[in-house]
Amino acid sequence: MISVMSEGDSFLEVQQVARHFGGQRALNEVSFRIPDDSLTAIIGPNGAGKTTLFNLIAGALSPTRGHVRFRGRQIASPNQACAAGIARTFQNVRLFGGLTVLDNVMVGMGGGGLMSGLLGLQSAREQERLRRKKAIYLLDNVGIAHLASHPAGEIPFGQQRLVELTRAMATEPKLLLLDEPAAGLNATETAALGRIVRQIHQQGVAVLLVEHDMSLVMNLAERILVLEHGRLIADGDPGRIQADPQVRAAYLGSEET
Amino acid sequence: MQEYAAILCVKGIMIGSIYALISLGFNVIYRTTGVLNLAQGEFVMWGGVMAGWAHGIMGWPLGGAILTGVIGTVLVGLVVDQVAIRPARGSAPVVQIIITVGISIVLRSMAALIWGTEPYHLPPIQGGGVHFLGVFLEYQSLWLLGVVAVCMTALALFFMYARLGRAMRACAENAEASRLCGVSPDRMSAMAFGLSALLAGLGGVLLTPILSMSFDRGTMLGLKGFSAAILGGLGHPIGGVFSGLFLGVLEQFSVWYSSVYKETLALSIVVLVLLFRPRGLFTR
Amino acid sequence: MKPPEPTSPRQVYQGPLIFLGLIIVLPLLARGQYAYLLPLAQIGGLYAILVTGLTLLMGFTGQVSLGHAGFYGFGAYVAALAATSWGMPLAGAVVLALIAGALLALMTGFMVLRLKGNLLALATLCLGIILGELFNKSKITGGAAGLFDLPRIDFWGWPGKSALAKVYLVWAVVWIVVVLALRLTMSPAGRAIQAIHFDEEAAAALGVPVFALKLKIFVLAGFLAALAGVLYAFVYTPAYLGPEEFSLMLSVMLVTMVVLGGMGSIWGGLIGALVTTGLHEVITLAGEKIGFTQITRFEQLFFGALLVGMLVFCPKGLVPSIARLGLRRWRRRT
Repeated sequence: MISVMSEGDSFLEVQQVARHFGGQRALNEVSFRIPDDSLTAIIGPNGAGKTTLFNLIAGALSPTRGHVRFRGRQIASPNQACAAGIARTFQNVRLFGGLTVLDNVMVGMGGGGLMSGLLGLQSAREQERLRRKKAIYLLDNVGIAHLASHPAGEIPFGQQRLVELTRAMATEPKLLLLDEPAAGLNATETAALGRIVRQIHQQGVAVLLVEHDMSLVMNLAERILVLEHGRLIADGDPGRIQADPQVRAAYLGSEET
Repeated sequence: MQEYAAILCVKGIMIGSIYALISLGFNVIYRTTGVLNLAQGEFVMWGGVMAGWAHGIMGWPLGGAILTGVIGTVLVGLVVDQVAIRPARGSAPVVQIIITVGISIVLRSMAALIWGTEPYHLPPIQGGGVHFLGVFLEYQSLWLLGVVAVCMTALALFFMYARLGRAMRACAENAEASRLCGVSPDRMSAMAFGLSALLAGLGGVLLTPILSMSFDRGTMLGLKGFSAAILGGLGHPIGGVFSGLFLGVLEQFSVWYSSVYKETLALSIVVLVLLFRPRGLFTR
Repeated sequence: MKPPEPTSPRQVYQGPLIFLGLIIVLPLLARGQYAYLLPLAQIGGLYAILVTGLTLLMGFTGQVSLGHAGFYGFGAYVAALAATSWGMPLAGAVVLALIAGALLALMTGFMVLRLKGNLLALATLCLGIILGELFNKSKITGGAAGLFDLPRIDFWGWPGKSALAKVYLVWAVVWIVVVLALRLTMSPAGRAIQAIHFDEEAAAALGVPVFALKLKIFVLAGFLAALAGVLYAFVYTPAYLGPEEFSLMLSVMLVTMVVLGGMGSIWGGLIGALVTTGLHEVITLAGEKIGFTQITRFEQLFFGALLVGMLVFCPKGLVPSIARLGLRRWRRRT
């Protein structure tokens, strides 16, 4: 097993993590560290444990063994993850279907105190106005501001993915987890997605994405982690990964590209 | 003192047998369709009232009245499934529960409108009784207990070995997959409700000679029945049966403490179980 | 392209102002032979308060409470007991009942909201029945006989014995409750609450404090129920409080009203409460007219069937469906 650990990086630290479901081992002895300015991709065949790993990092699951630390702290719940600066998207787009696109984006922006909601103070309304502006700005960045008043459940799939991405970005994360963001997108949409992700990265957000689309991965990622059957079997830059025989055997070789 | 406790236990088991039977019916529906049928008690009530009407008002012989009660209840169960459960199969479980609550209200008021509010009686299958440990056990109660035991065994065998029974279990696990195997969830649902109503109807006709039956007795019976099902672990029919007997005994002992709060006690226990051990008391 | 406008002040205040106007004008029309409608308007207002809380709970956070009549009765009984047996002044009794109601909701909500969907419904059902049994059988609450000689809410003689004045009192409270509820739904908190309903996990990943919000709304619903209870004990009833009102049937009726009103809308809930109360009256009157003694039973049958029918055929509620239908026809005409 190849592992590259840089010294002094404790942005995201996954240490000897295992996760069992009943008798099943979804993850086993996975260790890696990610610096705060990286764009890393996780690839692997279906069932390799990629989404489980994501859920562990995002605080939705806890490890059976080992630990996950983000900026020095262990994340015990999705709320904590968000507070610490982790945002995520989901494999199957999970938007709030009955809310408008704009409302979807604004959910993560806070201000949801019950008392202020009931009383409707001037200061609260001013803050809401600012949030609204920012949300529209974010939507405009990805080119879907014109959909702001549409119910999120009624827009085309490709644009739903963008809404989910914008929604995650609205929480001003330091680490963005993207779970198969290109799944179900055509070539044009995928290329646009790549541009957007690169833009996000350039703004200083670390990105960790799970993907099956190899061209997107090779294009975007500076570093690739390869999972198979819950184990990390390779960790390096795209060139090295493509040349790795184990990886080819497990994954790339079995893929008809 | 010990004798008194023994008496309460025996009485409790006798009374608990109806709760056990109701919980069986409840579990049959739950295991097959995932629906929590809060109208189960009303099924029992209809069985008893129909039989009581057939015998008392129409003057039919006991055998015919019992048959009427049981078959009538089965029909009610099938109609309820057809009209209210199947069309709502895709809805959230909560919605389905509220639907069954609505059904129980409909069945209760219908019974009051059709058959009035006076209680109905039935003569026992076998009059008299026997003395046991200082308690006089009516033969009717023993019949009820016997029927519960038979039903429980029969159902256990049915679900484990009979093709139809296994189909019903498969349906509960995964409706889509079983459809692909040629099992129709609609038919399974109807079977579950029919079978469940059969159990309820039996319970009703056997209970009426002991305690008589009127339109409003179904609710509490149903509540205690599903309490037993929850205590025994939802989806575990045998656990439900023993919980039913246990609940009967518990009730008897609580009478000694305070007769007024019987139901409150039973329901409080249910709430506690739901909160702290939703798997049930008797599951592993 | 133009970004969407936030709701303008005119849109925001339009509804409540029209509503206020209706509240002021309509009761004045109930004179002479229609005066019997006034007590009906009172109880309808109480149900409106209950339903508003329940709509926020069921329609917005998606948590079901099948025992809401329990909180209603709890508020009423605490208020009545405080003012009679415990010798508190009226204002103190009101405040105590409200706080007690909120606390009860806090405790039960804390324990019960951890349960998912249908188990939550079961737990609240049981709790409602337990409370109902306690009201009916406990010596403290006077059992089936109830409590007597309750004080009346009195601001220097108003509303006194005037049914009209009582209607205004109750509906003034209703108006405040509805406006606050509307405010809530249009606020960031309202957005977060709806997000919880659509997808709890996604909401949590976005930093929404899911459990805390659910609990707060549950407490709010309990508080509003207690408020309705206080008004029931001190305004609606003729100085007497009995347990009949706080039954399982009422809990189910309240859920029916919420479903009728479309679950996701405060105005819908209000309409649901009014329509149901109105239907009740119509059915009762019709029964008297044709001399049908069993009219109460028939009414229960009707509402049970209505609930089942609505949930089976249009789980999104009748009011929105009808409104959409009406809107379509109106659009076609213009």
